Amino acid sequence: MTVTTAGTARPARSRARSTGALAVFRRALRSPAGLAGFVIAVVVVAAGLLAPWLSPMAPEATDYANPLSGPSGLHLLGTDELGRDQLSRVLYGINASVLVGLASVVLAALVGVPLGLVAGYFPKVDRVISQLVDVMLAFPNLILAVGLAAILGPSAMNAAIALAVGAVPGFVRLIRGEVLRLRGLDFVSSAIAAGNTHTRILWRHILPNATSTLLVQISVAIPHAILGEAMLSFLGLGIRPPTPSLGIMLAGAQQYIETAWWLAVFPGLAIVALTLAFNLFGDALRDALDPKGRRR
Amino acid sequence: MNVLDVRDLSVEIPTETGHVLAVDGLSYSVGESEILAIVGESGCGKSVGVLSLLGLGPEHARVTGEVNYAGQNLLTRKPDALRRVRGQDIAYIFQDPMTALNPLMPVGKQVEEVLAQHASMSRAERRARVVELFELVGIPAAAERARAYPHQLSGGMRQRVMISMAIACGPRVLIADEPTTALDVTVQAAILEILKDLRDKLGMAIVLITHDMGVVADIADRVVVMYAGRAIEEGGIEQVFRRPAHPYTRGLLSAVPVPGQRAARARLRGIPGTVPVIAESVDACTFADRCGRADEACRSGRPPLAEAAGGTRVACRHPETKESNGE
Repeated sequence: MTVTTAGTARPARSRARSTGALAVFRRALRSPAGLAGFVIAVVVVAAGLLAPWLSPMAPEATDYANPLSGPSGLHLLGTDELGRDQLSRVLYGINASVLVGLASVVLAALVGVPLGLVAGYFPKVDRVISQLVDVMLAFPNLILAVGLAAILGPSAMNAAIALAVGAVPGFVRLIRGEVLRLRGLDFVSSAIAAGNTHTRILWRHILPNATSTLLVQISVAIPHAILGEAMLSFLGLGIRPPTPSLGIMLAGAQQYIETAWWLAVFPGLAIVALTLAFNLFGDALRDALDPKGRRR
Repeated sequence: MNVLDVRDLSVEIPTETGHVLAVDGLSYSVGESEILAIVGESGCGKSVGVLSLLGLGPEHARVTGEVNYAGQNLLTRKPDALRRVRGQDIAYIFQDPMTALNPLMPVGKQVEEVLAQHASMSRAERRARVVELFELVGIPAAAERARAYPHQLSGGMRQRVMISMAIACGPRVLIADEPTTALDVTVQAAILEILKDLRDKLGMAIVLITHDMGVVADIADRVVVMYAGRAIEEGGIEQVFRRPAHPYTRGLLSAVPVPGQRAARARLRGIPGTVPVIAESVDACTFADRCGRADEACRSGRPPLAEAAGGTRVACRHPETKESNGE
């Protein structure tokens, strides 16, 4: 508490749960699943981001002496058909997946949040935006991403864009709903009555109160994007070989599935770990933001 | 000289089940540094009436009439011009200080926001002004309190913050919509005292919306009694309390306990029935159905506001003439 002087500064009514972004985050870490998810996510993401320093070999370096060799002291996770080190490739693959995943979510939020704000605040604009969002939602997300990636051409950036397009409607809907809720609250009415401009009200009063919800949406969207990236690369629509990507590695592992299990298992585990960790943490965040016990 | 002059204000609100006429030809004016109370039951249109003055009423509401402020009719002004009037010339205080502050922003910052919007001041000047304002409304340890979040303050303190926010830009009219309803009785008295004090110091006019006759008696100079969207009685505080002419005003006053009266005489009486919801302006007295003395004349023509014997202006065909204490 910052207020230390006695007397008039008693907490008026104990708020059951704070909905500030930081408080929600802390509460999410208090649940075992949330903590586990957070720790795994941090470890895996860090491993991916530090791939250039952690990986024992260059991911594209071939070792023709040891093609398709199982896990050993030299190659901890084995090698593929060209003798490339699996450990290094998995680390770089995580790196690529996380970067594409994050980029697509950030992109989707950058487009979706302003649209949602405007849609929730100005009923006339809302008609147009909501119609567009409905149209977009009519297409299954992954089909949309595949189609877009095919049109844009295979590259990491295009994969991120294709995945972002599919994620935008989720952000628009969510933020629009939050704005509709917040707009009816007294402090927004009183900000309007005090003559504040719409821009100021949206940025200073409404958006900050929507951040915790936004945080949850972001943490839920990340695993989707990571899976989506793996899928696009698997189909040859995402990152281009020889750059390692978890999806590409899985695609390559298909033909050796009976002889070289390690080719499919380790990239697969990496994908599972990433998505599971983000999902666990995202769920914990959502629980921490649960309206039960929360003042509406 | 009147600061605010409302002429024939009507507010029609479309709803799913048809139109509701929330305010029906309401006229009143507020003089320089005068405290005018608008009194009535819930649903009589008092809040909608004042919110509509600055385009803050319900969405899609049709507002007609004239709202004259500083020589201009506010109802015909563009939204952006209206926005500039809000907070700067005419400020509002809302009923529930618990929810009227942004929970994620320190209270001082919220007052600064209003200053940043309307006044060209540097950040340091704004900070200094906030402390000044907090001291003016009786917030102790003002500089420290400015950094507190709303949940760290009591209801009374929050209402003081709301008041300081409303007076930040030195408005000429302060509209307070049930400013004490959500507060304890003791805090209520303190807030009313602050409002009175501010009126004396800053010379602004105050329009006070309330359903509480006690609050009215405490601080108002003049009263407008509203019923079903219309003004039914208007007058100086003395006159209305001593010789209320409208049966409804009389009913309201006799529903308030008066300490010191003998139990038998002090029996509280309610008014039978409820406030009707009006769809369109009817050519009759809207109170007739709940009134003991209503007759054909009441049901066949809208009674005009006219001078009554007690010095108030009343919209009734059969006004009381006796003093209310004599009952």
